[in-house]
Amino acid sequence: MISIENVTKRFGSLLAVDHLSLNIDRELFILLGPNGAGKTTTVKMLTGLLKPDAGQISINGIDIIDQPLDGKKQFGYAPEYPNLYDKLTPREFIDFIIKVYSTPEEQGLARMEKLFDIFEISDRRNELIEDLSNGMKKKVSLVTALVHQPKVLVLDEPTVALDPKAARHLKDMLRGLVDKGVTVLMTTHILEVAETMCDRIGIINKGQLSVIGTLEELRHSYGKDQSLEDIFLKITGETKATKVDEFLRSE
Amino acid sequence: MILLLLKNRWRILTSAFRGGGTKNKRSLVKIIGLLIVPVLIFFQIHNLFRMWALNPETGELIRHFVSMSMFGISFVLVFTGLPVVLHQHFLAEDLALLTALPISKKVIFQYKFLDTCISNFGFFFAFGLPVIISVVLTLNTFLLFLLPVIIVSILFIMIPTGISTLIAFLLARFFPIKKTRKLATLVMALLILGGWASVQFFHFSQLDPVSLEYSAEAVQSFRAMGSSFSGNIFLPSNWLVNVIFYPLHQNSSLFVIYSMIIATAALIFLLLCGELRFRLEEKAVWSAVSSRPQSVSAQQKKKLHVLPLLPTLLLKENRLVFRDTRMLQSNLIFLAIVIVLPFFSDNSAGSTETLSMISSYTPLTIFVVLASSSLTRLSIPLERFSFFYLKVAPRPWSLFLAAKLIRNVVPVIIAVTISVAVSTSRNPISMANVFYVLVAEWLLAIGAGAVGLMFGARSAQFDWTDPRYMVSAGASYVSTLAALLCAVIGLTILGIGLYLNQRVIAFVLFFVYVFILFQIGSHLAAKYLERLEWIY
Repeated sequence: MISIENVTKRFGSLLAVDHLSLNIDRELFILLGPNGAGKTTTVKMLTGLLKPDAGQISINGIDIIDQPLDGKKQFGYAPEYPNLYDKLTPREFIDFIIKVYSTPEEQGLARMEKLFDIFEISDRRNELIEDLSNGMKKKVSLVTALVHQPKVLVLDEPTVALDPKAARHLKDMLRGLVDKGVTVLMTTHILEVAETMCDRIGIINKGQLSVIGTLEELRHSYGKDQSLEDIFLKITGETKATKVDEFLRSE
Repeated sequence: MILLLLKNRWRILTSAFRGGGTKNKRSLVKIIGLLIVPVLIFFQIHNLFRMWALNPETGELIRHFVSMSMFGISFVLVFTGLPVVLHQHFLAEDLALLTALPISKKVIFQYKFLDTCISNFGFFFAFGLPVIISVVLTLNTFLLFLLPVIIVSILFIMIPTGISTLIAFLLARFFPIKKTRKLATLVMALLILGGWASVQFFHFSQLDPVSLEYSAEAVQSFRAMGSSFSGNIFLPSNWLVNVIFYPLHQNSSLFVIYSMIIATAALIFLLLCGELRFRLEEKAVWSAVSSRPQSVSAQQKKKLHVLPLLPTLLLKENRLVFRDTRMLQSNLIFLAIVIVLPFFSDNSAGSTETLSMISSYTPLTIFVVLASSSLTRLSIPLERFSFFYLKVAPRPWSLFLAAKLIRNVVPVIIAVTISVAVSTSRNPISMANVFYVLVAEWLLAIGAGAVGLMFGARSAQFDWTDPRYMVSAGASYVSTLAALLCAVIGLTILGIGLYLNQRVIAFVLFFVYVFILFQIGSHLAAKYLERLEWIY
């Protein structure tokens, strides 16, 4: 379970996250928002990479600020950009992760094998990560998040750079894990992904949570025939592509 | 178009000065820090030149010295330029973007050649420019003369860079580029080490007429060596020497002729390198860039094994160092210097007094402290963007820091042990004294390592692309000074104890001091890393 209460984060004069509160439990929650809305900042605070200026964050009841080590054991994290150790191989890197998270050896290795197989990394496992494509790096990053069998998954744009097959495998896996009681928080810009997979959606804009609910609840509030894209644009204040129209007229 | 690309490069180079505030101040500190080496070189050389200029017999030595310096700098630039050329022309991150733009590829490669020259200018600025300025000041020539000489010098850099580029292209034609770059970087490390070793053998004070070590014999052999260099008009470095010494001859036509020769050669290299790189592109040399995927059978041969955590962390640290050529290069240079130092220093190791015997190891101690603090300092930003994995890992910082300290300090400890063994074999001393020296050096290596970790944690720049920017320049200097200061304090404690003939108490106090240093260093490093906000 993820609990975010009244969290605020500033970068100088920029208010990146403004009194954000959110509870996510055994569901697939998707955080949407325009660029610079505060999604990644929220995710980074949740994972302890940034410290909130105010508010509390707990994962499975453990405060991530007061008890960072116990808190970090609870989740698996895959960032938007797969910044892995370029000079290690996927195999060596996963070894490192297994040990760091105190995953029982046999269990960790068996899980690694399965995940390598699903994401088709097995053939490249002994090559240096720097020689892998972006998509392959992303797959390794996802294996990293999944290999220690966390109860909470925090995924920042997990489908970006994945090929359609791997994206499908990931979506199926996340759905299956949620059904088994795992809590998933992911951010995405791909609204189709959000529409097809999520249990609940939250739309963040200018650091504040503008709306939260299931897709049906959002449609109920914003119009039955509205697509998620329409709802998103309405909430983020981009109802009409007037600037695009102007640009096209001037062409 | 090439000017536009250079303008863009200029903007990147000066980006640190835009935006104002602390960023500007930091950049200023960085520049001041970078000026220290050339300024020190300038003062030493200018002093030597002034002495030579006073005596007509030694006056000609200035020209020999400049001639040999310029040749040496050109020679080093040819080899140190190799990895830079391979990077700029084949592996640079902006290549994909540039080649997708509507710019002729020949122009792009010419720009890349100029970009390599800009990288090489740093070396010339540090070691060549102080020599030139010293000549101009010693000969009392018009100071404005410096400007055309610097312009010609910049053009001159294109000649060794051009030779370097041609060699790099030849290698790229036949060998995988990444591996070649690694090899070239190691060759560069060996050259730097060789250069340092030769400077140690060659005592400039022997050439200084006012020095106590002045040797007429050394001056004679220097003159003979210099004559053979200065006389060779086919050496491009001598073209530059002729330009530098133009005011002495008062022959402006000579200045123009040699400047034109250098400019023409620079232009030829610019066009030739652009053309050749374009042709290599046509022959799809890119295929040689990436390594081949391993066969499945080769992978299957690799056994699955997972070690306990600390060895796993040490293994990881080791892999990061060994697989990063530039980091490996730093490691090898430091360790080699520590090992070979006894061959160049005259230890009064035969001394029976522990205090004078230990103080004779001062150069070794300085290098041990430098090596230990530098290597641990760099071990934190070495993680680059993947460092966040340590931030999200459910493990205490002390564990990760311990792995870094052990990985980087143990090789220094081994090197200093070898060094002391070599030194002892040359100048036998009692086993007790060997023991004291070793203990002192080992403890200092650990203490300096902790100080290095602290500064690494405080000033790491994880978004570096060039190892020079792994920590801010200011932090590098402050860290080095802090480590040396800590060593001086420790040695003072030890020295006072030994002076008072309280050997055991001295070592106990020294041990306590290093222990406190270690605790403070590692504690602050952990604190800084814990507080670090991951904004990357």
